[in-house]
Amino acid sequence: MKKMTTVFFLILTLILAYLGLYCMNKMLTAAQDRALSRSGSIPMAGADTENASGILKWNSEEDEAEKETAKNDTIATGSAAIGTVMVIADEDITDIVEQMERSSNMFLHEPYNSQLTMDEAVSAGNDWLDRIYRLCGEYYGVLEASDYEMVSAKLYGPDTVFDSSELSLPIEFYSFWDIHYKMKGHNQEELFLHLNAATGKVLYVSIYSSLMDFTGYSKDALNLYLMAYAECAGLNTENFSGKSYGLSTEHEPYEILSLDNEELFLVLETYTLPSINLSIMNMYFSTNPELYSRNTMSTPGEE
Amino acid sequence: MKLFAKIFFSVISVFCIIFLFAGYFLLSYSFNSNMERETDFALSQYKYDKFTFQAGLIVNEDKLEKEMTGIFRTIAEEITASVCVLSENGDVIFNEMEEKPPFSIDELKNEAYNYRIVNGENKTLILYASKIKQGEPGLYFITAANITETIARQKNLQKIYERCYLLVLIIGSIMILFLSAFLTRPLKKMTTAADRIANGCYNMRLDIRGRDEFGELSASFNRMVCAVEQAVAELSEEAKKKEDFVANFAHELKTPLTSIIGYSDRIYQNEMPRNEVKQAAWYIWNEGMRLEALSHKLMDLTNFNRQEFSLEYLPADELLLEITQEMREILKDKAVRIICRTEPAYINTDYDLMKSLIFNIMDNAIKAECSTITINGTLWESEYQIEVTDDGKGIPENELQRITEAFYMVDKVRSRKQHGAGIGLSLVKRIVEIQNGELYIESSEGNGTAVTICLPIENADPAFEFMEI
Repeated sequence: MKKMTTVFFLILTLILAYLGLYCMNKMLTAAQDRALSRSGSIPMAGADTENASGILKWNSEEDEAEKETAKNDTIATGSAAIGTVMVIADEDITDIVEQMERSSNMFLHEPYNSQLTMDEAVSAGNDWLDRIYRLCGEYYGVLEASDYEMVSAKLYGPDTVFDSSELSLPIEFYSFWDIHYKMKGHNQEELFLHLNAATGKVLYVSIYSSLMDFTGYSKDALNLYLMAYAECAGLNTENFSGKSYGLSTEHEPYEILSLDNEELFLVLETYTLPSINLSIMNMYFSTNPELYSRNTMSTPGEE
Repeated sequence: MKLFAKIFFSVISVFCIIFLFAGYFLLSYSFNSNMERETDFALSQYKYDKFTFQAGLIVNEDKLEKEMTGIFRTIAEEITASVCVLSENGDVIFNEMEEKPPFSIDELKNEAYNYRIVNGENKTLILYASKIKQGEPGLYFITAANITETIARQKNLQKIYERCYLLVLIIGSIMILFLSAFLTRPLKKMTTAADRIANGCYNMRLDIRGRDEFGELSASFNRMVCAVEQAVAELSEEAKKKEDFVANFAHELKTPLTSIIGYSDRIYQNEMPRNEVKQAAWYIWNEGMRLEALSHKLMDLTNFNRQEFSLEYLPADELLLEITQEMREILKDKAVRIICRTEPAYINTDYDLMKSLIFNIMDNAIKAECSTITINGTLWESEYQIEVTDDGKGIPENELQRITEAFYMVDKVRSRKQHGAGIGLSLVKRIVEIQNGELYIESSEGNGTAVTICLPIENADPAFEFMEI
């Protein structure tokens, strides 16, 4: 009798073990099937913003007069759309640049209603190229803006952790279009622009060239580039102190101009990568140029 | 079912349930997190691809109308995922997928990234779709990210878990089987020991060490067996004593009865002269007296064993003097000198018991043919010692152990002549026990005997007062 009971429980335990396994597999399969037949939609970030886009060709030459007029009426902070031109105060640029520097993660997103579309961003980038080459063309020889073609354009914005309540401007001001150009026909020169997605202002330029040697440019040439960059950015160059922080070395020079309040800097740096025969020129806004500069800055007045 | 089998089945059942539940939650969590990661990655990839596609459209804007499919193909080559492009009314313009994506145009019109997971027989895809806001007319851009490998990995993980489960179940079952057998081994030992004890092997002891419950149980078991063994030994001893008592009693009855029957038969059967008849009658009377004395002593012994005595504190000195006086009256015909020395103290006793006690000791002394009996009553710490010494024949040292046993006689012939039955010292021992005292007997052959009784006192008078009569 005892043996019968033991055998009965042995069989019961075996059944429990295998039945349990069978049930677990069934439950898992059911849960997986449910998950694998899922569908839905993820709302696009900022799709519900109703602000109308007011930025078109804001840094083109024909709007310059209008922009100049608008500048006189610039509000201390914030932004305003005047006709097709977005006017933005210097303090706002400082804030945008500071946030860009602070954000570690940026993610791709669709343009908000008040941001430049890809068409508009590419158009703004082309206009910038036209203008900068018109201002600095003498140093570029045969090359001109029409020698470049756009390869890709992507819109990056702050990550979801980014707390928009801490921002002084609407969140769409903190996205930027990353547009990649290359020379038509061959890859001897490439150019990357970071355009502010709300204003179209070019906040970062990077030129990779195997045709030019930027490190050989004179200080006057670099100054011209910087002044042209500042002008294209719509900044009043009269506000710049024009201070130069000097050249660090003969082969890796950089040039810095600063605003009078010394909160925002325009940085130009050039260097070469001899191993791949590449000369690089970066121009960008910065609130702290030491973060970016590859060399130790000499103190003002050393020159 | 045996305990070890119960432990085995219980542990295996609990193990199965826990392992399976844990497995279910673990695998579900793994699957869900993998799916979430794949979905997020596919969305990021989709956004990237969409920008690439859109940029391609801008670059090739001029040629788009003439070579639309070719341009789409060229752009799609730069995209790793399979691409499908739908027109605004839902017609397929370009499709790298095996089938048309299962999205309706209505659901694609919203400002969102629409997704659908398609689980085919050989492939599992995550489809993402949204509208491209790029000129007129609008287009719908759809990509398919292949997550078949992730699903296959998940299935593989599930199979590995199943194998692990079965392997652990088999190994675990063997281990639990041995473990439960090991754990219940002490119980088996105890069962065997209990059986042997039940069969009369009282010297059986368990050899289970350790500080766990089995160790404690084993120690308790051994203590219990010790107690049982002791109790059994005591009972056996008691039974033996009773047997001896009955045998001795029968023997003590038989001797006088034989004489009585013999002499009465002789008188009845024969014509005898008067002096012989008188002699026979005297023998019958004498043996009758012996029987009477025996019956009195036995009654006393029985009474002392059964009766409840109420003890009280009495002055020992006065009590001993009074008893001595009485004994002197009784023994006035005998040439025995009685000396009594006492110290005053109150002892917890009963007058009749004390009298019987002293009488029996003195009776034994007289039977030992003594000439002087000395009774000393002295205080000794918290006790009162009554020492009765005589100068009689004494008792051989090897007989001292047994002299308090009923019917035990050192010199049977002499004792019977004096109507002794060997019960006196048994009575003395019992009386001392009733009074919560202790009895010591010292003797050497030819030098007399000293019987010492130690009794508890109430408040002994510290002032020493020696009395001698």
